[in-house]
Order: sequence, then structure tokens, then C-alpha cells
Amino acid sequence: MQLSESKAILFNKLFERDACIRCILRVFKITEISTYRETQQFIQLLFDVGKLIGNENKLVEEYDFLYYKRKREIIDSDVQPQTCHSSLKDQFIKNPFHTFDKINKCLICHGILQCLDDQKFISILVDEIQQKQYQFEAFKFQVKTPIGCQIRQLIIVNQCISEIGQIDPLYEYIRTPNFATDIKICVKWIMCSLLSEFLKVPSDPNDDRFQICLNFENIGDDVKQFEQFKQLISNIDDQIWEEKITKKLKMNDPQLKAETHNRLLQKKNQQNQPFLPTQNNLEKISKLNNNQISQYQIVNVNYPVKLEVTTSYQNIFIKGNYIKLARYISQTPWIIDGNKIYEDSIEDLVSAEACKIFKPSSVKFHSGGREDIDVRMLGNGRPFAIELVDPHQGLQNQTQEILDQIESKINSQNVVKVTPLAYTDTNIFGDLKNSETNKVKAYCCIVECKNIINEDLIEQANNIKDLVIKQKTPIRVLHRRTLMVRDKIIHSLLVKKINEKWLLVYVLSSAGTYIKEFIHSDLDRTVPNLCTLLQNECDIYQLDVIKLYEKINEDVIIDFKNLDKECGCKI
Amino acid sequence: MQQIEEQQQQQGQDQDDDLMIPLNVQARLGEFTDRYFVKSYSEHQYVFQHSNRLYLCGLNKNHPIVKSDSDIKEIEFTQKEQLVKGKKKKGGLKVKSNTVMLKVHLENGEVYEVLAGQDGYIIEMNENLQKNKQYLKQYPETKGFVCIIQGCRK
Repeated sequence: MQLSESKAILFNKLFERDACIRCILRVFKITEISTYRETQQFIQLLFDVGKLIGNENKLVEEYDFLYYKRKREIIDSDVQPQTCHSSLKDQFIKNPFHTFDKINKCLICHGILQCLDDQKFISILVDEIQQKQYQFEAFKFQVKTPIGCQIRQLIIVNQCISEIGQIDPLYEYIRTPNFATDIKICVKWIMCSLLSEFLKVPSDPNDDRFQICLNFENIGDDVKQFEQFKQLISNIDDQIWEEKITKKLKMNDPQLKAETHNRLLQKKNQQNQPFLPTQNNLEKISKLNNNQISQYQIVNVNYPVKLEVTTSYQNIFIKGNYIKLARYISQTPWIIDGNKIYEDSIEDLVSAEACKIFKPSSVKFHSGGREDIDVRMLGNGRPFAIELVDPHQGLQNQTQEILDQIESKINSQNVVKVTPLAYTDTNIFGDLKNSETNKVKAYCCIVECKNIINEDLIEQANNIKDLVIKQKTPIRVLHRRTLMVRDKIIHSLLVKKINEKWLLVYVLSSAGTYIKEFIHSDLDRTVPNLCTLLQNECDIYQLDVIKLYEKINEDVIIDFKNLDKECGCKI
Repeated sequence: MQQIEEQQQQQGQDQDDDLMIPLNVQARLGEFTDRYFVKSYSEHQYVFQHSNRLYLCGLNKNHPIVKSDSDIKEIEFTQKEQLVKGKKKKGGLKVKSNTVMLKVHLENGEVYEVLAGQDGYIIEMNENLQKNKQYLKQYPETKGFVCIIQGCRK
């Protein structure tokens, strides 16, 4: 760092005000990374500064490896998670991994930049990360810092410069907001190389797979610091509001204008909100001019900075088609009051093996539509995707062999079968949604009629094409669906007689049709229905989904009519 | 792929043998309303409760309208129609079990009042009764139901 006399004077002032050396280097916007890391250079720097201000050894004597021998007065904080404003509650760290509670810490960064080099700190950080047992080959490093640091920096710098009293182009640069290097960047410069040395993997900001995030939190101090500015900022805001309102009130009658003005003013003053530490408010403060800022004091609180370390791995998606061969299996676990109503679920059966191998924190199951519990899903299967959230063992297991292993394990149980499995990404959601709303489906059901069946009507039913039906929301789902009329299309029917009163009915319909209600008419709330087509009273005995088609065309109808031969019952 | 499909169909059929339909016995499985509803009857009317706790209300077989030889001339809806909105069915008409929902005029001049039968909010009145008045008489317990009611929240 090249020292001029004006720089040295400012350096000395900031040092006297208990800013740590790294923070001072940040204020001067030094961007050579080695300066932040070489701790031996600091002593030489302090010696050089001392020489320029005329007292060589003064600063060196007071220096104690980034910590200071002077202590400051501190007051207790009364900002606790239970009593603070509701929007801040989520930001408190409940189980901090580490707390920085040394009293003699930097005024600006509260000790964050001071003890990152500490061997003990690094070793417990590395232990914590390795304890979680992730597989990774590179990491991306993220940092969050408390927002109060920037306020304190603004106040200190302006106060020091005003105290010096000289006019210098350097001081004007330093005073502009956002001139200094950010704390987060400094933390990254120091930590990335240290962590990669200990974890033995490189740090790569472009590799999104594995992320380590350090979250420093100090809300008690932030709240106290921002509260000070409340009066001044609200005065400025009031002025702006006045100007806006007088432009908007366009009434000609002056008395009415005054009344409305008062009414709006009262309404605004009723909302007496505290001035919270947010990014928005920080920008308002940085627009204040330098004299205004210098008047404020820095609030020292005894609320230590807390640190939380979180690690996460990118989610893995696996897609496929599933077939359900048995009945009374729900799609996702059905739990009422802590009791499982049905033992098995498709989600459990499909994702059990994948969970054992990849060890995710949780699993999400997505599918393109669903079927009732007592309905089988046959044919080419329904598309689905499972999302493994935060898989610990994801790196080396993402291979085709593992997929084959999972597939054979699931299929061997003979209840639910999947094919074919493949890795995918978030684009799968568009495909699943598309499948739910657009695909044409073929069903097979066994129907019982009250009266003897009329064969001519069967002929007529087999010849219908694209019959539009109107379905009111079925009674069995009316408790959780909106009451409305849905138009659906029955593309084709194939009715075969089993005996005088029993039928085998194949239905080809658009997506989202309630087939059971089409057959038994749901107390005539679905019209037209099979009862009206066959002029009989029909009831459905069992239902299977046979095949899914992409969209309707002539080939699909021909294929549908041949389904009977493909999978005909033994009659 | 076709072979696998056929195999699966075979397997599916084998599993189905447990649920064999009674092909040789001309037995009646039961009405749709027997499957999901718990039925309770009062003197002239019924209230069927579905397993999802919605109520289906209407006339039972002992009601004079059903027993009478005379056909129905006109059905008058005595309450104002209120449409329900959304999944929670907000905006429905609040009724008590003795609120009069319909006034039925028979051909022979007799007039009968039909009560709601259950406390709660009306989700839907049976619109088919406007076009097919005789359903009320011919199929009182199925197609000729009067209304669907959502019970009050506890």
C-alpha cells in the first residue's frame, strides 16, 4: 500500500476509533488479495503509518494480532427473538454453530474479519462440514453479513473525515457511498483458499452442485442502529408524501381539498411502523448528505455475532413411467390423525431404493395426473418424476448402473413397476403438466345393468364419435373441489356384452374426465351418460386405466378398437 | 413391449380372480347410493350422509307425493337462489332442517311443502327437477333428490 500523508492521517484516525486493519484496507478500496492475507505485513504497515504521523512506535505498541488492548463501553441489548418485529423473527439463528463474543472487536465488522484466520475456528468449521458426509468435488462459497456494518462504516468514515478537517480529493472519493470493498468479498478472499486447502477440493464459483453458505447474524445491533435514523428519514418521507399528495388532489373547492388532505394525513400517521434494518432503508440512509450522517453515534451493544453454516447439494431428478398392478395403493401416503389409512403408497415404493443410495434430506413425488385408489394403471404407464432434495451421496452415484439397480429392485416386488428411468432436470414439470391436461386416455370397466340390455343400443353406442358431455363436480369430490360444470369429450366407446346384465365397456376420453360418473350418472349430474345411451340403469364394478395416448387422431381410434384383442378378458 | 403388456394383463387377470364378479348369479350389486352413503330416514323425508360429510336430502318412499296416483303439476322453489363460489363453497343459503325449500302442486290440487331436512348451507338444489318434474315422484331416492347441504362448521 502506497502511503501518502493524508492517507496515513486517516488510517491513524480509523485505527484509534477501533476499526480493524482489514476494515481500514476495505475503506481504502485495496484490491490486492495478498494484503488481506499476509498478517506479517500488518506490523510493517503500522510502522510505516506511525512514521508518517510522527510517532513511529505508537501504533505498533497497541497492536496485538488484529485484536486490541483497549476496551470500550458496551450496553446490553434488549432485542430478542420473542420481542422483536414479526418480519425479523425468521432471520434469527436458533442454533448457532459459533458465536463471536470477544469484547475487543472491530467497530465496523464486529469481529467477522478478525478471526477468520484463527486455526481453531477453521478446524471446527471443517469438522462441521465433514460431519455431514457429503460427496463433492468442488464447492461454491456464499456469505451473508449483517446489514448494520455498512451503516457503522458510513458513520465512522464521515466522522473521522470531519474531525481531520482538511479538504483532499482522496477524502471525497472515500466518502462516496459504496466506494469501499464489501465485507462479503473480503471473507471470500480469505476463506476460499483456506477451506479448499483443508477440504482438499477446489473452490469454483461456477459450479452450482455443492454450496457452502456462512450466515453471520447480528439483528440486535442492526435494529438499534437503524432506530436512530427513524425521525430524520420519516421527516424526509413526509415531505415527499406532501408533494405527491398536493399534485394528486385536484379538487377545486379549497375546503373539500383541506378535509381530504387531513383525512389522508391521519390515516398515514396511524400506521406507526418501526424503522427496520432492510436493504430499502439502507438506501434511503445512504442518500443523506455527509453532514447529516456525521451527527449520529455508533451504538455498541453486547449482542454477539452468530454464525450458521449450511451446506446443500443440487437436487437430482429421476423420471419414468409407473404401472400400478394392484388396487388399494394410494399415490402418496394417506395419513389422518397420525394413522396410515393404506399401508403402501406409490411414492414410498418407488423412492425407497433411491433414498437408500443417494441419502437425500427429503423426497418429492410429482406425477402427470393421478388415479383413484381402487383403479389399476396398466399399459404404457403414467409419467412421474421424483426429486431427491439435497442428496448427500449424489456425486458418484449418478450413473446408469444405479438406475438399472433401482429399476430391478422396484420391479421385483410385483406391485408397482417402472420403466424406463432416466435423469432429468426441472424441465420435466412442463411435460408432466402437459400430460395431465392434454393426454387422451383409454379405460376398461365392468358395468352391471339393472334391466336386460338392448343390443341395438349397444350398436348405437359403439358408433358414437366425439360425444360432448357436461359433468358437474361429482358428489364424492364436492367437499374439496369447486362446484362447476366441466365439458369433456368421449372420443369413442367399445361395449361388449358378457351376459344379459353385465357389460365390458372400453372408453376413450379426453384428459380429466370422471369415468365413474359417466357410467352411473352421479344422480343425473353428468349428462349425457351411459345410462341414457343404453336406456338402462348402470353401475360400475371395477375400473382400469389401460393406455395413455399423446393426442387424438384416426390411428388412435383404430388402435383403441383393437385394444379388446390385445387385452381381452377370459370370457 | 407388447409381450410385456400381455403378460401384465395376464397377471392382472390372475389377481382379479379374488374379486371375481358373480357371472352366473343374476345378483344386484346395490345402488350407487348404497356404496358411499349412510342413510337415515324420518317420517316422510330422508337425509343421506356421504363419507365426505356432505348431506343429500329428499323425499322418501312414504311421502304422500310419491304414494299418490296424481302426477306433479308444478314445483315452486320458495327460496332465493344463491350461487356458491370456490372450493369452500362460500355464499350458500343457510337453512335449518325445517326450512321450506319447495312447494309441490299436484294435478289433483293438493299442495305439499318440502323441508330441507338438515341444518347447514345449501350447496346445490337439484336443477333436473325443473325440466323433469316427475323425477321427484318416480326416483325420489336417486335422481329426484332435493338438495345437497354442507354441514355447519363445529
